[in-house]
Amino acid sequence: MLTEDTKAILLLCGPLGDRGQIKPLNLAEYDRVAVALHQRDMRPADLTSSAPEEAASALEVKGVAPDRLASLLGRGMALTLSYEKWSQAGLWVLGRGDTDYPLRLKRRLGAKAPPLFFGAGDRRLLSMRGLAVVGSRDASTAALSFASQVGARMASEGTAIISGGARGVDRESMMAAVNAGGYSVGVLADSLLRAIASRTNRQAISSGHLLLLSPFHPDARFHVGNAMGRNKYIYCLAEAALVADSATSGGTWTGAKEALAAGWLSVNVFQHKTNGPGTRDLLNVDGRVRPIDEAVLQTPGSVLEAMQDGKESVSGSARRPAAQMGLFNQAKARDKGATEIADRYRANARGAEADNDSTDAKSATLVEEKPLNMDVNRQPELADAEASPPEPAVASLYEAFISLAMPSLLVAPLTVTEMATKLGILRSQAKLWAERAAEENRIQVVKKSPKKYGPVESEPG
Amino acid sequence: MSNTFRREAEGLLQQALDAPGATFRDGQLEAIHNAVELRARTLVVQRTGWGKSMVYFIATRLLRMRGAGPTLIVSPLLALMRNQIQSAAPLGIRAATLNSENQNTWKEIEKAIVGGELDVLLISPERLANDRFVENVLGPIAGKIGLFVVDEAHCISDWGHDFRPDYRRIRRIISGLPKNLPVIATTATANSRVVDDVAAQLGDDIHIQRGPLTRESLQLEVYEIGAKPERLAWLAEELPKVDGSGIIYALTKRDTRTIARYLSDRGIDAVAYNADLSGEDRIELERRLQDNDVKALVATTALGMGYDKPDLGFVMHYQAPQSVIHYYQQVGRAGRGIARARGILLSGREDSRINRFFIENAFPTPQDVELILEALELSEEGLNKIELEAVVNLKQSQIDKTLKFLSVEDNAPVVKRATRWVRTPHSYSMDLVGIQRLTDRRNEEWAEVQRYVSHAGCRMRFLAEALDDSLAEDCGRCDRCTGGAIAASNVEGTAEAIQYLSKNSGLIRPRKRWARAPSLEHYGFSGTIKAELRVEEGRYVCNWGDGVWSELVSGGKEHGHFDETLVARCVELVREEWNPDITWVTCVPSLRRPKLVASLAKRIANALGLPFSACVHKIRETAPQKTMENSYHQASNLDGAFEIDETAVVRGPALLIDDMVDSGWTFCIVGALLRRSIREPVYPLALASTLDS
Repeated sequence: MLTEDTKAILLLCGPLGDRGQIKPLNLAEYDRVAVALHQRDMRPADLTSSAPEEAASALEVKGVAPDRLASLLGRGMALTLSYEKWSQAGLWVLGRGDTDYPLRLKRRLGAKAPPLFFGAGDRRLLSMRGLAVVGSRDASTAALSFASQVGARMASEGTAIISGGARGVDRESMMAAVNAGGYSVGVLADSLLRAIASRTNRQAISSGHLLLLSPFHPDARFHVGNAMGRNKYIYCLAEAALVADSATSGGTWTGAKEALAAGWLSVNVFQHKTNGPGTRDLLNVDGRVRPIDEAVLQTPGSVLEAMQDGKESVSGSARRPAAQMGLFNQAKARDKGATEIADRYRANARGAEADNDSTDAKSATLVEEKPLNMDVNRQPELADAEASPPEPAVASLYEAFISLAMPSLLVAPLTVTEMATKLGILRSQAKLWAERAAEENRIQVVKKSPKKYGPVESEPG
Repeated sequence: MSNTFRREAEGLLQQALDAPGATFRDGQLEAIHNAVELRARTLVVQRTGWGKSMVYFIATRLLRMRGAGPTLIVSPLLALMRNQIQSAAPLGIRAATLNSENQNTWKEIEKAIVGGELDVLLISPERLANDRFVENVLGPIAGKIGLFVVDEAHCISDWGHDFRPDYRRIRRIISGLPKNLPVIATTATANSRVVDDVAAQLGDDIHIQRGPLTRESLQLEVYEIGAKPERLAWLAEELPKVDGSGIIYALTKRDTRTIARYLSDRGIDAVAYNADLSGEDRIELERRLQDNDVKALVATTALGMGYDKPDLGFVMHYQAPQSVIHYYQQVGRAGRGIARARGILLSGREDSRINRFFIENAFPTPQDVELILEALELSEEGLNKIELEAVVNLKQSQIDKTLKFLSVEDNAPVVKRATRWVRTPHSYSMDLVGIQRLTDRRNEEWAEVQRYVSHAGCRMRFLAEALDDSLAEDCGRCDRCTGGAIAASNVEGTAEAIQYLSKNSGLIRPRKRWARAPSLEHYGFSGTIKAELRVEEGRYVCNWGDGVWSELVSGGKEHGHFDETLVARCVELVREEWNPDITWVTCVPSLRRPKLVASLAKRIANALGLPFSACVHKIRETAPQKTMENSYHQASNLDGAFEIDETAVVRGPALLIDDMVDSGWTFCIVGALLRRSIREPVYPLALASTLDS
């Protein structure tokens, strides 16, 4: 079933089979709508509670004519007919306002997170821990074999393979995981409806081991731009990435560089003498790239954590500076990194209190993304809880952590592990920051065993 | 509601009726207001003639004036659509329908909608269930629709007496609509349970408009006449005494043909109307009834819901329908605009058997579902219908029924992609509990019909109560209230009807295409059957299981010898009713019972004064043909089983005799082999046909 929020987003952005008579909103335009909604303290669902013309004229969106908005909102019959076709064939539609929209994606991409995903399969797979595996279609035999071994290993670790569903490395790793009883998530660039009709995919989907999704129309044909565009979602859904093989051009190469520039996660590159030149060159692109080979599979503990820079490298002394360096790079990343999100969150909190200063374009997204069951009225309280006035911009990820963790802590006290899961960070990192915050008296321990943190009691009055 | 709104709506009503002082009926204005101003969903439960269409036409006008797009109406009857288009005209509403009969105008209509030149679009539920239509025709214009209207909305309910697969899709379509698109659903027949269920499907903030459903002009009568011939004779006797034109409902297509022919042979202008007729013929017959240009249409429920003829003089039932709600819906079509109309139910001995058959066979069996799902599951990328027939030994109609059922389930396990049926990733288990619940419910409903037949009190009151519509007092018009039969309950002429019914011979239509290759690999038959191999149109003596001839055939099969009267009947049929140009006789051989048919054929040849030759040989045993469920398996079962003995062949056109005909593959194949040898026409003759039973 579609939520009314997702219906509204589909009306605005969805390809609804009306042959482009009215152009659906693109990502940037939709984001402006989200901003306008936020300024009026509205959700997308509020757009369908009155006649399309009324709703459109009540919402001033820069660069989107009210006529166009009204026409888009008036596409209800096209929406339900399209959805009937998709859902009967086995697809669901996930909107950015839905509670199970992948958090990692939202957090890393912010306003650039796609408003809609089409997909098939058990949506709980989206919240599993995941390893992104990428590589060219014509990868070396060694790379294919490694991808397949990694797939099987991830299956045994309860970690999902996140990949692109293409021939070669993608399918090797995904099917190896599924065949070993594990899980795979494929982010497709085209032909989703056709993909779910093939026997192998269909059986893996219905047994709950495979999830396929795409931000593009389910009938979309192959298009290089789309194939490039979806790479970022593969990375953003995962906690670490493995490049199995790469040339020095093409999708794998470009995607890896994009991920490195954004600093979303640590990138591991499989080294083998038969591999393409990209596998070597990536090491030179960025000092944070980790070269790995089959030896990583000998790791007694979690291979995922080893690829995430490893537990020891964060808490241990040897690699700590490098790790922290990497995190700071993330904060500085030009694309929507955690900094901006934290920034926005702060603006939100202030905006809800101080009102009408909320012209910040990005601030709206988080409001809209907030799960429905979260109490909006808690925002002013949060501002109270953050007794000390926030610094103008977040100087470190530590500050971002405080801002992001706080709303959850206000709902219920959390253990370090729970914080880590909610925020999609390492437990060791969450522990580090939580202890520091408690030391600085910004949060406090409210329960001993297991140790749970909560907000500092605000002073009466 | 503001006065401005009231005045605006009333102005439109007066314009539509061309009556300056006209005001709305109870509930009409509220329903319009709900849709236009509140954008709410409304369920209107009012009897036919109350003015449901006025509600959605005026709502359309008002919405259009407020900038909304055209209205989409889903309605199940072609004739009704034409009526509605006409009645919308005075309001300045431009309406059109997209149906299979007017495909040449679809492009034009599409353009008119995109250009804003059309206010109302009417389509049938079947159209809405057709993927290609939705994608290619409706898709491009759906984004403009401003109001969605569902006629006969009781079909949405699982509790409805009318399980219609296509309405399951309508139910999902409604639930997928955003709140800003208003919905008006209407029905004239629903008890409280159905109303509640439909309301639940429409959403939380549904407004319900409900009025009384019974009709004051209707005079209800029931006659229990067990045997078919007696009922036929009754109709021939009583129909001319009834005023006006009307409808006679029968349960099967065959009955509609039999009754119509019997009545017209006796000078009564009656025509059969059923799903076998083309859309064009159906529209033409509806028009003739509309214009009182025919005394009676003898119809199955294909002449269905919403048929709107204010001066319909009578509705008769040759057999009792499945439920009281069915009955009321059908009989309620009479007497809308006239002072007196008759609703006559003839209850026959076969009613129970037929209705129970319908009830028991409403859903595909779990076995069929499993076979088909397994076949699709194992296929790489789905199967088309012909491939499916080769893989599963099920009748084409069973395959169709099962696929239809599965494809409209919520989270369907199968979906059609172009011409292929594909298994979806949805896991599926058949809702056997739900189906049993529905079957039980239908059996209860059938029991209620039987109570109606024997009910000693007021008939209208009985119907009203069944519809949860309380009636203050007895109607004073029905056969019970007036204290006795209004028409005769026994008539003369039964003997004539018995004779008529016993002669139910029929045509065996020659097949035009071979079954899909490689079913007839051995013979090398595939594709179109060449004219020089095709048999002529044949005849059968009777329908299996129907009447005295059928009893003789089954007796003959049992005793291993067909009675002489059957031989005489065959000769009568060949010489007097058919008269094919034949010079010799042969028969289809059997290894299991070599003498049975051969002896029959020899005796017929003798009586006809023609030579007989057993020139067709069976060279291997085959599984009984009746266990083969579809063309592929039926044809493949016979591949290479027959051979022509060229030394025994007689020259000239032949009569080819068999005892039973079903799919016709035996005649088709043996006939082709014979024709290849003699190069002359071959005429098939069978004693009984199981095709129609």
